[in-house]
Amino acid sequence: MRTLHRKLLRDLWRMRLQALAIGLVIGSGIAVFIMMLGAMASLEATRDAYYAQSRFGQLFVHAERVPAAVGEALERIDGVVAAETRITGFATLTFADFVEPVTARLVSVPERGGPVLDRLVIRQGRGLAPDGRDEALVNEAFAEAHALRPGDRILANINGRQRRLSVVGIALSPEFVYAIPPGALLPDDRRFGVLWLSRSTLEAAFDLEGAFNDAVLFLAPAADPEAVRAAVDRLLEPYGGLGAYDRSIQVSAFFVDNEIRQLRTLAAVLPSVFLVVGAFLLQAMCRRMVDTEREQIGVLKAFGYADRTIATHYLTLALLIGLLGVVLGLLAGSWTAGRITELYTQFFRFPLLRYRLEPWVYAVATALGLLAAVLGAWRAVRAAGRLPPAQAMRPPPPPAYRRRGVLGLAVRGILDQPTLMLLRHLLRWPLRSGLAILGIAAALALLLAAMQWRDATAYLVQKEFFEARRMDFTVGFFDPLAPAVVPQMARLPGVLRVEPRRSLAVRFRNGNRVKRGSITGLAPQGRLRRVIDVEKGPVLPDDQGVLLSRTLAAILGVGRGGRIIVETLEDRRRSVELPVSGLFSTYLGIPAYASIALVDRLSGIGDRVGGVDLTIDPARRNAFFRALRESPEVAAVASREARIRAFETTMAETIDIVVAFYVAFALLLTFGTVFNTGRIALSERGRELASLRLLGYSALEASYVLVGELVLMALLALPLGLALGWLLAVWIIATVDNELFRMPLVVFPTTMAWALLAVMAAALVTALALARRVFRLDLVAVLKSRE
Amino acid sequence: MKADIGQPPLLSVRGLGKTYRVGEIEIHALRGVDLQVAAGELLVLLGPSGSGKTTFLNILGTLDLPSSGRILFRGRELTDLDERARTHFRRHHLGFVFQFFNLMPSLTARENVALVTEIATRPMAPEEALQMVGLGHRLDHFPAQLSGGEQQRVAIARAIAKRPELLLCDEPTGALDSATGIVVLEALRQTSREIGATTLIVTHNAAIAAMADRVVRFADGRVVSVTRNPQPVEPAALSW
Ligand SMILES: Nc1ncnc2c1ncn2[C@@H]1O[C@H](COP(=O)(O)OP(=O)(O)O)[C@@H](O)[C@H]1O
Ligand SMILES: [Mg+2]
Repeated sequence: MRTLHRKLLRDLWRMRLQALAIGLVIGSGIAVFIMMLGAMASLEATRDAYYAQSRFGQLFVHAERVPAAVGEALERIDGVVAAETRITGFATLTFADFVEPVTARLVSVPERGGPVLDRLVIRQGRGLAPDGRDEALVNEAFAEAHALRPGDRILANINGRQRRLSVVGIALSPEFVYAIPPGALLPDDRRFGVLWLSRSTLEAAFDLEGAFNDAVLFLAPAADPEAVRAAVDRLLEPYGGLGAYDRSIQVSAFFVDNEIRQLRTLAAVLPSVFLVVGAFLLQAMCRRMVDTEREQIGVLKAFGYADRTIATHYLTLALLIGLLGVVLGLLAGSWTAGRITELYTQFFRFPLLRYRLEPWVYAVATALGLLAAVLGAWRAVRAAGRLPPAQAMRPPPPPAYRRRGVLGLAVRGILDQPTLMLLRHLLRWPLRSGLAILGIAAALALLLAAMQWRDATAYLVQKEFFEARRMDFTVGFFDPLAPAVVPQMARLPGVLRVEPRRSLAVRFRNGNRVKRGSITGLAPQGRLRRVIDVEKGPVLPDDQGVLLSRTLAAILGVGRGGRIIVETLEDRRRSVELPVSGLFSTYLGIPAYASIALVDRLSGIGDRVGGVDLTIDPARRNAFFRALRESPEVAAVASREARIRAFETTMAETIDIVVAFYVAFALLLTFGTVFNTGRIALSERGRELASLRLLGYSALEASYVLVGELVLMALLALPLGLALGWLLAVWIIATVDNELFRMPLVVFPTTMAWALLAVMAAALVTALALARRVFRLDLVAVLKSRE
Repeated sequence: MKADIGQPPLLSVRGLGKTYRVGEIEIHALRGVDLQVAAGELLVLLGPSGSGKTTFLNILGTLDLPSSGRILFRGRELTDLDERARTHFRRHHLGFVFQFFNLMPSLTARENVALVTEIATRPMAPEEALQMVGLGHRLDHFPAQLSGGEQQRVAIARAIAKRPELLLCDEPTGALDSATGIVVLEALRQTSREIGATTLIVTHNAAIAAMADRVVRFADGRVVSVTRNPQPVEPAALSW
């Protein structure tokens, strides 16, 4: 059998380019699989280990002011293992070398021993000293962005009082793996940080001596989370409890989980596109091979080789090609998975996030690659095994071309003979041509679906940060203030326009559908924050009802004109039935809007302003920033421009890299499909093409028969690819449909043009490379050999 | 003449028929062929193109199944064998030579022979077989580097290397000029004699008949005559 193996290896070597092309397609599938699933598995394993180690809570709750004693009652709730009570809030920070406003989230740490839940990992320096007044720990990303080191000092405005904090350590927390400013989607580490201060410091700062306003709970494995949540809510109701929520919507945990979920769904679908196309290519190649080697097969059988041996021979060949794909895929996949995981470290701050080679991922990838090879080769292998030797020894009848309807009659005299030849060849093997077209279409679809991300993000930024929001800055106050703050803000240097805003934490109720959220009250003639109704365009909130975002309305099962019950969770608690005066679409969160007057009425404590939106004169930016620092009531500042820039940076640094990988793989798919189809066509038509040359056609004219067919296939694939790309994009977009954000489905014409061009160019280059072989055909050999 | 009276024939064919069905049309390639072949004989099957010679040879070689009739090889029914047994029969008892050589283009001369010796029970060395056909100096050449005659001699070496009892040759000189054809026939005659193989040569070339012990004439799917050559000539003496 050794000699048969030698034949195998020589055949493989002779067809190395074709084998490589198929190997690359299968390898791309494996690489994408490993890239997604490998990154997913690393992320998931890291997450699980870290959450367990740091005892990350499962239930979170915020309240107004809860007496310390209630904390013990929390621990006594059935199913609660431990409760960590604490004080959280916001502060604005001042840096000498960074003029823009910086917002910090503050979290208290017990005086002794550090937190029991959501434990911190100290990366540099030390933890807070037991009497560590004015000592602070800062989160690592923020420390890196501002080059903070233990010993540095930060000036903070906490609840109206300036404090000089000294950084003693740099820390990581499971609550802030993904640390984003409130209401943002992306981190902005220069403008947002997390500070851990001692409990006593924050008690004093927020006038919460002997009390807390935030709690984290750790549940027993057997606990019923719903029951615990209800108990917590009942317990904290009198103290302004805002309703407990679980880890699935804890912001940081949500984004980590969302990423893992998305990687997993993509890993289930995208690689199969490559593997299926790879299997089809292999099938065409093996078929052709068995056809050309039918006499060899006949001889082998005549000399006593068993059918099974012959079948195994071809199966081995296919498996070797599959193996080539697997090896290429494992290498490329490991590398890209490493790069992708590295990208995640820019967003996700785990104590240790490194790409880890998960053996099961590699095992599954290998199995998938070989399975694709076996399935692809199966029919040809079976045909080789079953080929009756006597028949194999006789030359196959010439392929039966037909003058199909259109080609037979209508076009006679219009099309030249070479064109007729290429069309007939295309139609002679409709299945193979169809699959080749499908392969190219799949490449285009992938390209579109990947490139679509840029457009979707750009569109989201356009809609949300240019059309719906027009303020330069959004300012939040420590406590709701009297309306007089508005003219006061307007007097700050550089301020052009100020609009008040007030948010109220509420529970929406429609029958038995309940959703926690908030209503934001907007200024009567507001222009800086626009609510855009899908049907009516921009709408002004009125005093009678609420405007609901579509996602929220869908959760509540209510439409425009319907009625919902609003239970306020702050100030005077009350329950009011309100009409839904309109619906609007937004990609961010599940907001609800009303006029500020209505919100004031709902709150029951009179007119208040929780924050303002404002525009400024860019020339006086720095003066405005300085004045803002001296405004004690300012707890948080968000810059619209910075949010836009965060999108752009993320785009440039991460999405583009991922998209580049996909573009590369999609182009490989195009190349693999076109090369194989062309190679097979060339092998089938070598004689014909050489005969054309003998009849006086130039090599260029003869190669037209080949190139023309391939280009025609690519052209036919374009509309199909656009349609498939659209479907794929719809599906991918649907995987990011959640309460925190959604993605729009848009493909800009330029993107479409680039994708079409890229696929056509890849197809054309491959076809032309093959055409060179037409120039090298040995005309004499063709005359001698018989087909 | 080696067919001794009383010794059973090596091969005994009775009423062999083969009908191909192509769509509506039935083609009777063989219409009842009877033939006895003694061990060690050299038979030339002569007949015009389309007379059923290849079909007959393929069925003898168990490459194809007859529509009717029987074949006994050493008294054993060949037509009843299943696929496994047929493979076994070909592997251990048969050698083939084809008109178009049918070498593996990706294997050298030596490897083409080895391909067969590797699965045989008591083969000669591939080198020895190639030596016998006068190609000891061409061991590592690929088919594309050999002339037609040389390729056919490699095919003969491949066929005889396993020392088959029955050697089936279908138009072995059909693709060669006469001088080359004679060289090939010399190789064939000499090697088959050396290993004592019973040899059937199919041809439409009447000149070749002179080297046979017996000449079987085919026409229209039937054996029309069997004649014994009193004085078979050596291939070197042939010409056409
Ligand atoms: N697989 C087949 N299907 C249909 N007809 C066949 C097939 N093989 C051979 N024939 C027909 O059987 C007849 C005998 O063919 P063949 O045995 O090849 O003759 P020869 O070898 O004497 O030239 C011819 O008419 C041929 O066309
Ligand atoms: Mg014939």
